Amino acid sequence: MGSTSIEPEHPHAAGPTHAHLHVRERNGRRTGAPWSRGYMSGDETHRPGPADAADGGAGAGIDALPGDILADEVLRRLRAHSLARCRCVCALWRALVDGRGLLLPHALPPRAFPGFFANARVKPRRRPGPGFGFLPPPASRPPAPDRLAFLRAHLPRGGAEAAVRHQCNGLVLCFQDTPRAAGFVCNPTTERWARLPPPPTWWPRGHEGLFLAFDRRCRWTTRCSSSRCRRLGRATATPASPPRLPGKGA
Amino acid sequence: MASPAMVTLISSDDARFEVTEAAATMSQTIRHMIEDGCTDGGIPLPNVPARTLAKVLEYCNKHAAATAAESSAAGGAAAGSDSGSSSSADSAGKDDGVDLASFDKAFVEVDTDTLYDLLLAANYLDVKTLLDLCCQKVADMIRGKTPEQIRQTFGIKNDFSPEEEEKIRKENQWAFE
Repeated sequence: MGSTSIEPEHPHAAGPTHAHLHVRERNGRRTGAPWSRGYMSGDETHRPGPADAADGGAGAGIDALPGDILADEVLRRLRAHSLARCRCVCALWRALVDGRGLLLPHALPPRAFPGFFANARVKPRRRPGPGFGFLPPPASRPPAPDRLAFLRAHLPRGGAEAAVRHQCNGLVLCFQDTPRAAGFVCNPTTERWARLPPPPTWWPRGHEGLFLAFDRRCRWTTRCSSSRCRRLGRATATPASPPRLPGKGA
Repeated sequence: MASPAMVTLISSDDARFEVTEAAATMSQTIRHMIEDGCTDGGIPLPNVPARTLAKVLEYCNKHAAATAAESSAAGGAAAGSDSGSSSSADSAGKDDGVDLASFDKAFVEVDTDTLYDLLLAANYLDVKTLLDLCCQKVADMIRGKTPEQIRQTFGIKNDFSPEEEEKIRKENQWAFE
């Protein structure tokens, strides 16, 4: 490096320096093409700022930010409500929020205690009558929207009831007591849900001893475990003792 | 610490900036280049235009000076080079925190394009605190806004169809309650 005397005004002299800087950048934390604008134009003198500003006013701006900066440095600073709104801004932002699971650590949006699920249970061995309900805290006036209404539409024989059996980490475990019992894990906050794979044996009667548990090894998965079934899909069997729940909201 | 070593930085449009090494090495990118000994004839920064570089250096100068003042105040006796009155150094130590915070706040009160340029430059030059500052500013600009306000603020085109938009809005209905 010291051997070449660099004269910036000479186009070709700038070559090696560019390469050097590029390497530095690669060694740094971020790769990708953060400098796609302006960078490759290399030897020419360019002024990215004014040129871009002329293109689209404020418009060209934020889209020029590399996705990893926007997602990891900017969006990650936001909390659930803002992130959820960011999903609605444009396809790119939605892809960033979803693709990097930015909302996942915020399964329950930080806000006042919204209420709780309650099962109205009738005699054992019968279908739970009115099923589950979502009860707001006594002080709040407006009737609670049914937080699992979105799930009903997907239940076999639409309208059949499902009871909330357990919850963990903001996820809810529901069972539908039809002859062909079906279990669901859903997130009332994001309204996403998944049907549990059927176990090799029958579901335990009354679905007792079924728990959701947070598995630290797989950061964002929650497993469904049963004290009776040996295996539930990928889930592993656990002793009958209930799993440790995060204190909040339990 | 004693003799302020100077380095020359060259912006993409060939403007030359002479700064103290203390300020320049707030940038990890530049620090590596200085360590590698490739400072002869100035350090070219082909990704940073003069306008942005000047702004970044304003930040680096301010923070490097504050760090120096802090360390000399912590060291007790002023090292004796130039810091005018030692009485001011004592009080400066305390004021610096407040002073620097208000400097930072005012520093990012710029139009969005300048902010992006600063952010990109901070990323490229690897000035961690400046990158944090800019990213926090952008995050603050997003916070509390509706999607439409966010689009307006950042000039983003809504590329969802009305049906798609309705669907996404439903998915996150709780965020709009």
